Amino acid sequence: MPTARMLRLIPREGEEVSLSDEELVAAIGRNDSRAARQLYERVFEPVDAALCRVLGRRQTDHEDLMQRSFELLFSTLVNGRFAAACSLPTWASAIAARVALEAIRKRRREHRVIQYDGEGAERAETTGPRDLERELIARRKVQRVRRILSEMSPERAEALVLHDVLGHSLAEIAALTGTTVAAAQSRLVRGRKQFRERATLLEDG
Amino acid sequence: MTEEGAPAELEELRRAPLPVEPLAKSASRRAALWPGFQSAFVRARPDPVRKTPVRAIGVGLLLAGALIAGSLFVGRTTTNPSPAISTVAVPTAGPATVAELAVADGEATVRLVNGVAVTATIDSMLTFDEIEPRVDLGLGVGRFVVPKLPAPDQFSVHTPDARVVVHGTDFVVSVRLDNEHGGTVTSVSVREGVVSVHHQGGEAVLGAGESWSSAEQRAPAPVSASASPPVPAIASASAVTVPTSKPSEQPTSTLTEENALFEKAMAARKAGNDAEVVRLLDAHRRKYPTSPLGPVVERERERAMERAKQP
Repeated sequence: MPTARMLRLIPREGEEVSLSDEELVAAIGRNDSRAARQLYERVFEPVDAALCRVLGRRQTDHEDLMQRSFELLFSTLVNGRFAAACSLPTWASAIAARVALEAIRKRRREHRVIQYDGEGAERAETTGPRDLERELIARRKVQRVRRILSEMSPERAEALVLHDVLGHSLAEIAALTGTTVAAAQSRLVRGRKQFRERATLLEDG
Repeated sequence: MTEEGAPAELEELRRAPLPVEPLAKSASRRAALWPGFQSAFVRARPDPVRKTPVRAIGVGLLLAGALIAGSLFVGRTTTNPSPAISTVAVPTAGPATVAELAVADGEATVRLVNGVAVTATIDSMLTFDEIEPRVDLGLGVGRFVVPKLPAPDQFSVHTPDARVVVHGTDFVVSVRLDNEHGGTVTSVSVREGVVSVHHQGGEAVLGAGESWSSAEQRAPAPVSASASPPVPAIASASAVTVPTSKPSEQPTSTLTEENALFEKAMAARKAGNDAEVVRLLDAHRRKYPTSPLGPVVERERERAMERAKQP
């Protein structure tokens, strides 16, 4: 018999145990395909929710952005960049926020920020003119926020979104962005200041 | 601590309710994104794959790309698009035990102890059951050559939306995403022998040269197995992803060449050369217009064109 290659026992369906985040990351690193399913269930909603929060709604490229988030997530896990200081859902949420900010900046470069929201985006059901007016006002607010974020420095925009929109702590933001808590706090403070200044400019202009 | 609180606009964004969608749509979206997640997992896997001691036989097998990844570890696998052939021989135990494994030119061929040979294209997701003589094809294209099995033995291929039961035949099954309706579309094309395809309570019996697709069965009229005689379901050429042909016109298989060309395109994608990706995939479309890889080719081509537009 020729020299045997190595095969690994995989538990049968129904015998899977829920793995901790660390065990899941380790299993992914071992190319365990069954761990991939657990990971998917654990990060799908945080990624979806983060994209919705930052972008305001699911747009026509929402699934592409989710796919991009998944790819970045795996890249960070495989390259050992996952920080044990936060949970996998938190990590995935932060990655999705970064993907959403990239999308906003890209659309801004393509001068599609204002038009994009109206093209194929999910539309809330309305029951009358007042609802429609409220929806339009809400959309304009989201568009304004996205415009401001797209014009800020990426680090400050990211700190702002992670803290003020997605609710991550400074310690988590530091772990997620590979900086210190002090640096994360500084970016947040400066980011808020810059956001307010730009918001005022837009109102006046 | 922060000097001021969060800007009001961001607070509003944080408190705004997330868009609600019907459960069915949410479930469909989740199912539709799963294959992409699996592909991302496959593409991101570490290189090289480490050895793992043999623990047992009849394990789940993940075949993708130019490597054997997932639940099967091979001693010397690489991310090289054209890996050296590697073979594996293991003790026999059970009908779905892997007897031999070969990897070459972006295809993986697995032979089971019961004689079944499975050749899978890149990015296919295959799982072998430990106990039953059965293979699950989650996504991709697999060619199955099943020897004549003594009654009542049978071998089956399960996809997300169909079950193909065979008794001795040569056939191709492909599974692709259904972007229009969500979920997946399964297509079956028989080269030799007879297979029965079970889908949504119905059964279609296919002979050599016949094809079937779940896309054509959206309002199925179930055919009872006891009905006499069973009529083979032959899908139209425009609906299926595998070509139909009469028994006397069996086309020469170009699966190896199709895979090789697709793999070249994926190597170009890895190298960041999107223009080359588009060129190679255009060539694939021209040369193999009815290839089972068609949907994957289209998807990768669109993505390459999008990337090429980015600054």
